[in-house]
Amino acid sequence: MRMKSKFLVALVFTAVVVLAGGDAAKTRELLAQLQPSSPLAERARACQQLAIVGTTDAVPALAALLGDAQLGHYAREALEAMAAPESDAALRAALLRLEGPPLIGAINSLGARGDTAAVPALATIAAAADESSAGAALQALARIGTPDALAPVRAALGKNPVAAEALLVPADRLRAKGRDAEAVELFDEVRASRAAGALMPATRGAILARGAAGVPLLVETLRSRDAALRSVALQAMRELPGESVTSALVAELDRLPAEVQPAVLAALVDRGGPTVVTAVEKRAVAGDDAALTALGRIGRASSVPLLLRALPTSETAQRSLVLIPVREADPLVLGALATATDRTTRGKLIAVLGARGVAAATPELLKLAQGVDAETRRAALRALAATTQPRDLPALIGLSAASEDDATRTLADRAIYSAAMKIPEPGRRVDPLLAAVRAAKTPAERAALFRPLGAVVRAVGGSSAALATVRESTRDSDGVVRAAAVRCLADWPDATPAMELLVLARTETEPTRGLALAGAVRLATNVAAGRDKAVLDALDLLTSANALVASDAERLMIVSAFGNLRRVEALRLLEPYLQHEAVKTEAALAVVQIAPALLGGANAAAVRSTLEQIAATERDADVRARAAGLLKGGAPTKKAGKKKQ
Amino acid sequence: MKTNPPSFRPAASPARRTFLKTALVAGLAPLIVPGRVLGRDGGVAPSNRIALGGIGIGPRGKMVLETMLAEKDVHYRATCDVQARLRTEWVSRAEELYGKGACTAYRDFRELLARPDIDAVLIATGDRWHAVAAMYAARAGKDVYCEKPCGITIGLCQSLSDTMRTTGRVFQAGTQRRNVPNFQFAVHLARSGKLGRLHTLHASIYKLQVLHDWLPAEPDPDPNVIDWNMWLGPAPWRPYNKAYVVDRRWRGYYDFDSGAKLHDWGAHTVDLCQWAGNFDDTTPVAFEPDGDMIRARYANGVKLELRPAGWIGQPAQSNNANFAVGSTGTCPVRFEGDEGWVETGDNGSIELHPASLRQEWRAFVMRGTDPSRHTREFLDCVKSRGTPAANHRVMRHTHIACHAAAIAWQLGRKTKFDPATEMFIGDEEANRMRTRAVREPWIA
Repeated sequence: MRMKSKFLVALVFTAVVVLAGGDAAKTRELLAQLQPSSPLAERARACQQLAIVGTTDAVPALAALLGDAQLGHYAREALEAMAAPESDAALRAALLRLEGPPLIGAINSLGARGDTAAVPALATIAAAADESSAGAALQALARIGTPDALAPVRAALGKNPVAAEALLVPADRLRAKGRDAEAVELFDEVRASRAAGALMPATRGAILARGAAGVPLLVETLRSRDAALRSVALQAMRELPGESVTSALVAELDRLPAEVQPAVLAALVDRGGPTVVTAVEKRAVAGDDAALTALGRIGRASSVPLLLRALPTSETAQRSLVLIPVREADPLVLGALATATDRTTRGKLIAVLGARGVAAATPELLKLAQGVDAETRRAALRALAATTQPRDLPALIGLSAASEDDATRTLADRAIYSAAMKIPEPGRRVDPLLAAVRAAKTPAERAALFRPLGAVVRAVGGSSAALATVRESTRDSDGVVRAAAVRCLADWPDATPAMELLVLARTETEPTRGLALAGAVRLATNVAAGRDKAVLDALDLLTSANALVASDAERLMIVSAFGNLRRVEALRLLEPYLQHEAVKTEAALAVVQIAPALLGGANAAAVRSTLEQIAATERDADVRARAAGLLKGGAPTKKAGKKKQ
Repeated sequence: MKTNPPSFRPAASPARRTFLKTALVAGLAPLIVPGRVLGRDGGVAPSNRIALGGIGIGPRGKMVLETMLAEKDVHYRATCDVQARLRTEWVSRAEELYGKGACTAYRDFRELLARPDIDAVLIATGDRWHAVAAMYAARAGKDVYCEKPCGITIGLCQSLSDTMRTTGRVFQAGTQRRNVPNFQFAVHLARSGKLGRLHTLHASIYKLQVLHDWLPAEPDPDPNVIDWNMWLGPAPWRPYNKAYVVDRRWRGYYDFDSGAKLHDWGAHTVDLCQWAGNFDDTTPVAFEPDGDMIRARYANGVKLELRPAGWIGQPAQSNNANFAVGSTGTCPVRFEGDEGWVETGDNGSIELHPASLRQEWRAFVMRGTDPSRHTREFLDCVKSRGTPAANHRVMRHTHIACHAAAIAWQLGRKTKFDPATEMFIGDEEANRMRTRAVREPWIA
């Protein structure tokens, strides 16, 4: 029995502690850390932990810190977080002795805690001369929100500009609780004060708190000459619930000032509902641009013919045909294409079909892509990029081969790429293109396929089958095919063909030679910088590439690549370039990039010597300063890591 | 309020930047109809331009702001930073675009917000400032594009959302992947039932970490050069060290970063999972940390797994152990249903099953980090007063889901969460971690 009692006592004690959220043992530990002998940062941290686990035992120590210039806010953070009445008492007591920012802090905390016992003291401060503390007190009283707390705030309306804004909080709270009549009274009081900053939210609140009866005030505000007030009405329009409200506003639409009507229509569209769609369609028939825009969001099947009718002369109609959220639009637009006679309208319809991704339009688009009119051909190819499926690849490849110029071929290649990328298995996406390479009747046809093939390879992150085909083509007897294959290899997504590109840079003639060299350097740089994990020796690759450079542009490229090699050999490779007029600054920059990794090692003396040379002679002030900084032993200024947003 | 349906059709409202990028993709880019062709561009009268201000425009802010500056209906009129260097840089940039005297620099954003001629602001400070600055902006009547994470506690996210709601300002969180086509496509597959009944959503996250140390104290700088007190803003005081400001070494710190770094990617990837699962108005109800990952569950039983590893194509020994990079790039997400799955990431590629789903595939070339469509949507909403994709309500639930997961991970235990009250159930310590007092004189 006795054991049972002890157990119950322990249980009750635990329950009390849990409810209060405190941890007595941790509080003791933290209070020890709060002693003045502890480092400042430790004391601050102790306060923050007390905010989470502190018991009332911590209140006196925290209260004593409230006036502290450095720790006062930390102490208040803890007191504000504790649910215990002792915290309120401590904060109230502090009102009598604090001044300046700490006093404002204590006032804010009492407001945040809703401490009704603080009302008399806060009312006194609110009536005092100090503007900052009086303003804070008014806000705190408004947050407490009891009638006696609100009385001094209401009394300050028209005298202290803070009062009006502060009263919005309790007014909004009343509305949230469904005490609409009281909310209306308070919002209207604030509106009547015409206080800047509070008029707009008070108007919104007054409209919403009135419910359906708020429509007249809403309409009156929509007619206001003040744009800011009108914007609040437009906001309230979206929030005031009820189909009857929608109907009333629809009925009012035509009577509002013309310049307001588009925005009101947009707000009605956000409300939605059949009444709105009917009204919008009616205005769309008359060519109203805002209504045509609105149909893109809320149009129904019956809206599509309206948009199609407006299409020849309206870009808004085109945009809305793209967006209108009804499936019936697809066949209607496709049907319109079949009967469209003028080129402009046809172009718009094709663009709409493409933007909507209407797969059923593909056969017609393929036909148009082979038609006589160049503009229509290009429009169709653009649309095909969205509508095609893998089964269309042979036709698209044919269109690419038949393209009359590079711009048209580019469009066809985009469509090829899109169709290939729709093949479900990533490993199979290159297959149709490889088959086409094998089946190509002429070298030009074969060469043209490497561009879309390369794009697909990059998108899937590499392909051994494609690599084999491209490699083979680098040995083709036709120079155009070889050049296209080398270009494809130079953009390969991984470093596998790096060695091969170096060989081609030795054996090919310009411009293929230059392409191969640039590709090899790019792939080797990726390895050197750790972006490519291929088991290749980047130093070896770049050393070989270095022997092949033949122009200043290539020197700049190789020097820049060396900057990614954190090895002493790179330093040696860079040395001759430090004397080369055209690339010396880039070479010095590369040394500065490499140096931090080498300064602590066996080659530190050589590195320092090179840095000294740069610090003394380099023209670029930033590079010179960075070299000097490294020599002084300071790590280079570490930029904060680039953070993806 | 309705949830925007995903629309991955590239012709909807592509920004110029997207088009330019498309044109640069080696002649093999997908079909994208530029906005200019569709009549969204052209000359814009000065009176129809959105007067924009920027607050805390660092590297990420630059990326976002430049997409806005590329729009003809934007005029960048005011810039604010606690660093003189950045104030000068952005005034110069604006003068390049609009001429001498076009843009004024401020050290205190409240002065910028006091200007009646500013319509909207881009807030791209460090995380500690986002919510508070955004609330000040909204109360000053400005529309707000706010970089994520938008609030470093659950409490701040709630206050921010409430403020945006009550002030009626347009708010767009910087979770731009809602406006990137491959992610929209993946969400479309999930929401249209093409994956069958969804059972598991996967969100990539950074390797979680919380730092509490202080860097060595250095003398306070001249506030005209670096205003340290203003840099700290609502965050707790600590002694100055240049690295926090200049090298942005505030990441990971409890006082400055959000949710053990979980929001760095989670604000995006959890957001996409919430959208895919039709959870924009709620959060998971249970969280369970498991090493580097957190398993969560929604009320209807759908699972949400937040993890840094295990993505398709991710090497076992990744170059960067801090975050996931798989074959679909950074920031991957994966949605699984009983009839199929889809995985996608920042490089635009899509992995999916069954193969029939590839019929709808497009060549998505827009990077997940590109905010151009997202900023364009924001600007359109500033004009129309419409609701952008990453509005305050969406931000609220996504961010709170991330915070709740991070709190469970920090406490190292299972937690239960009530999405209605946005409080933990039966865990006072977790509830205490929901809010933190902001430093005086700032108020949330």
